[in-house]
Amino acid sequence: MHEYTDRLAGSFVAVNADLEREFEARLVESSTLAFRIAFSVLRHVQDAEEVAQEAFVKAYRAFSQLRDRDRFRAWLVRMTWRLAIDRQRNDRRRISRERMYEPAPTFDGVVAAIERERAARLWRAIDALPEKLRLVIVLANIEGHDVAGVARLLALPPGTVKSRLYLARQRLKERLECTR
Amino acid sequence: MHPMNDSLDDEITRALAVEPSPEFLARVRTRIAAEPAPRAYRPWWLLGSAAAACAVVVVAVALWPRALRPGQIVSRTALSATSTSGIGTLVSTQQPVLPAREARRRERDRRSPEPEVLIAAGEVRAMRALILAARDGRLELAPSLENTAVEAASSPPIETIDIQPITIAPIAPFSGEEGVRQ
Repeated sequence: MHEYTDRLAGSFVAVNADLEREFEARLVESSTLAFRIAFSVLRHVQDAEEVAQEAFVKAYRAFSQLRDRDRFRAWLVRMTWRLAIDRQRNDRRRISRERMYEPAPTFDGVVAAIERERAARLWRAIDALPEKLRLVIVLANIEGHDVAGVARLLALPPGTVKSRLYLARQRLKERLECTR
Repeated sequence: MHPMNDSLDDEITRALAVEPSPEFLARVRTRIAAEPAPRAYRPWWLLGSAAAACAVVVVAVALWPRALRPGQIVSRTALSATSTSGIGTLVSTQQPVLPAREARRRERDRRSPEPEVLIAAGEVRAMRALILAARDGRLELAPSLENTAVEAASSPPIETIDIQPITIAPIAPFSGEEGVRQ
């Protein structure tokens, strides 16, 4: 009896250790993806880190059902995006874009100001996009995802992703032309 | 891809090329360390369904009316062997145990209003007065009973009844003539 329970306990420990190892691997490879998705919505490093951390905790709790790599990343993208949107809507204290991410301090003052202005214009244009177009254009420009990669992450047909990308670029161009 | 798209995508990529702080991963690991370890996936919905089905069966069995099945022992009597005078005899030591359904039926029958035997109130009073008087010695019933002793009913002898055989005369043969009244 003791031998059996020992073996059973040993198998549980082994399963848990395997899960821990797999999750660590997913965490390392997907941490930047989650952070950048959150950042694309919140544009604040600390807030984005908090949201990404929350998403990883939720992923950890449900990890036994998310062991497949693609499934994990798709789930993480959707969860991070949703959490970031919720946070943006709920956080009324931060309504101005003054807390916008500052570029690296290697630029001199003039260049930094120009870059800031360009980035601000771009973000305003991205923010004006409908949510489904915004997520597609953001994902397509994170980690160099191609159409198939974005389609896998969003569980959408590649044709849908392609058309949304086209629409998003068109609208961004129009808006950037208008505000130039 | 269109050159404009290239420049636009480059711009977006640059805008998104933000790295998390070096402590980010460490913070996530610390936060996750406080969580209970993930367990291997188990089909909890399956276990839940099985448990619910078992509960339904148990409740159904508990609530099912216990009909008296054929062959069921109605009166369970514990028998014990006592050896008196060297011969083993079986003696009942308990009252018969009725099944619950039978006991409920009897209780219901006992409570249910049955038609009472109606006796006139005057007769009741008279009977009571008679019984009381006889008990107190105010009334001697013996002589009265002797005088009115009911004699054994002597039925008259049964006479033999002779039943004469019935003779039926044959019907007169048909004359064969039509139109003749008989």
